Amino acid sequence: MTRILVLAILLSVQICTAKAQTSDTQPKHVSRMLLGIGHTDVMDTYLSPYSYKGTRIDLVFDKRYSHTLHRIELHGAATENPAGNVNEYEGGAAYSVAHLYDVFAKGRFCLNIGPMGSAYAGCIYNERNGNNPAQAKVSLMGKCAAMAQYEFDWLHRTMKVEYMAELPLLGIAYSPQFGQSYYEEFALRNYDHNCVVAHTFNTPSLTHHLLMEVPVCKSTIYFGYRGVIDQSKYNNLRYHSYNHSLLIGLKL
Amino acid sequence: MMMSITSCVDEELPTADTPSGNLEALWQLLDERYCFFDYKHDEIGVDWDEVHERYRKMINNDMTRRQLFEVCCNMIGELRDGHVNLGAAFDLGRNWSYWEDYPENYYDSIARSYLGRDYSMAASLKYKVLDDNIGYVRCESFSDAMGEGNIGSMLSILATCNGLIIDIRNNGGGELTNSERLASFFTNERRLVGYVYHKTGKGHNDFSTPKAIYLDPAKGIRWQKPVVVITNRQVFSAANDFVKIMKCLPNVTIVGDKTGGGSGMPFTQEIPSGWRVRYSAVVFTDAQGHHIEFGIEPDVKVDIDAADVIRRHDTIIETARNLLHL
Repeated sequence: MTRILVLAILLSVQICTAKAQTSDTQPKHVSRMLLGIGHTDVMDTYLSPYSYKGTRIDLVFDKRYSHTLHRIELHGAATENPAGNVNEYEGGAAYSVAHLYDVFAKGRFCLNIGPMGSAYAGCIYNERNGNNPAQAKVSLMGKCAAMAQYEFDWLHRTMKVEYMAELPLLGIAYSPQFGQSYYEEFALRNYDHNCVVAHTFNTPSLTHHLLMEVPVCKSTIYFGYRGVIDQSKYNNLRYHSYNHSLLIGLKL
Repeated sequence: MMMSITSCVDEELPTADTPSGNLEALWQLLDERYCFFDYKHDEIGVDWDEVHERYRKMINNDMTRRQLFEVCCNMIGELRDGHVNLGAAFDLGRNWSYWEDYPENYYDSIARSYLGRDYSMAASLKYKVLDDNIGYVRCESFSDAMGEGNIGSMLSILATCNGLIIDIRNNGGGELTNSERLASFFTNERRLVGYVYHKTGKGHNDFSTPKAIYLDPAKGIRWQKPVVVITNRQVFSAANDFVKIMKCLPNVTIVGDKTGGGSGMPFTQEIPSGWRVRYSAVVFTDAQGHHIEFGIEPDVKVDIDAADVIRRHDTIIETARNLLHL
């Protein structure tokens, strides 16, 4: 595990130090807003041993200055248990910044890879639970991000396909202990490994999207797919949030 | 690395909403998360594996929902824990033997005759000065918030009394922060009042290191005269915790019947049928590290006398008054 992490870090460093190639296909400044609506499947064993399924809405603002990407994400989800008699609500906000280096460019295709830092704060609330009604989610993660773009002409327009994926490498995250109450944590201030080291193996997650960029009149619209697979295994508690959304967006 | 990324973090309990799926999920959920197995084994001989073997033989796929519910309730009843419940829309599975098997020691109409109609209320605390200049405070629950201002104001009004009775009979608990706040008005110094620890894994003995719990004195006015806390078997959970704390304090006497216990903080989970499962997850002990799950013995054991009931006298309140006049 350590070797793989070291390799991943070395790869990121090598990419950072490699001579960047400038692609003609990338504009200098791009801002866009994306709205995602889709299906979600959330399980947090602090709250329930079972997956709750429902609908999730994502709002993503990203801004790209040359090779630097800033992104703010907000999401909310309403889900219910398999028996359909209890609801759970999830919400969260994340800020990410990435520096994406050109590692390959040929013709109208380019590939960018680089490090990403991401801060997340969120909460899951179960409407039925008593002393374990909610689970807070807070993390700071270093990630590896990759983006591939390809431009093509169709119907007298220049369109672009974009695929981007992010994988967590190393960070810190908050988690209660397996059977620890929030009363112990916050009223008595009893710490019990609540700040955990998060890495690829206890946080096997992936966020990716496939977007089509289409110029319409004087504007540009986006549509595509976004998948967010968040998973963690901290303090013997298991969590997953599987999301598949349709994206629509607008260049700002 | 890719293997790790693509691996699923998924459910571990049975997911089938069938009679056997639900019983297995219930048994396993408690097996992994309930916090008193060793104590219950030592005190009442609970062998959770033997319980599993016995109850799984009662399951068949032709059972109705209510029959399954009954079997599941009987299984969790083996733990004899008022905090272990199974909740369905049509019923609440429980084992309330901690008070149902004992004298009630509380008659609402008699106890209310001590308060009369002209009592005062500070948040949920009802209080009055009895005719022998003893303050009487009725605390029916710790569920409703009671602020320091409420308690301090009440004690200021009762300050001229010779002693104070805090009647918590039939108090089934509520918020620990409320019971601790009330207790903090009866100490002038920081005191060790107990320990707390929780499960850290699925093994029956996977526990965190016990952490001490201290009671800090309330700011402002505090009670300096004798106090009697009166109890019965329905004093449970946060009310049981209140008795545990008060027993550590000087000038405090516990009078009445043994408390009902319930020293585990309950968490909630569920099984495939959607039935709510409540179970003790966090252990609270007394200042010596002893379990108080099965209750706390009073300093002075008193039951309500049948002859007193006819005279509409509350034997426990009268005993408390006599003690405060000594």
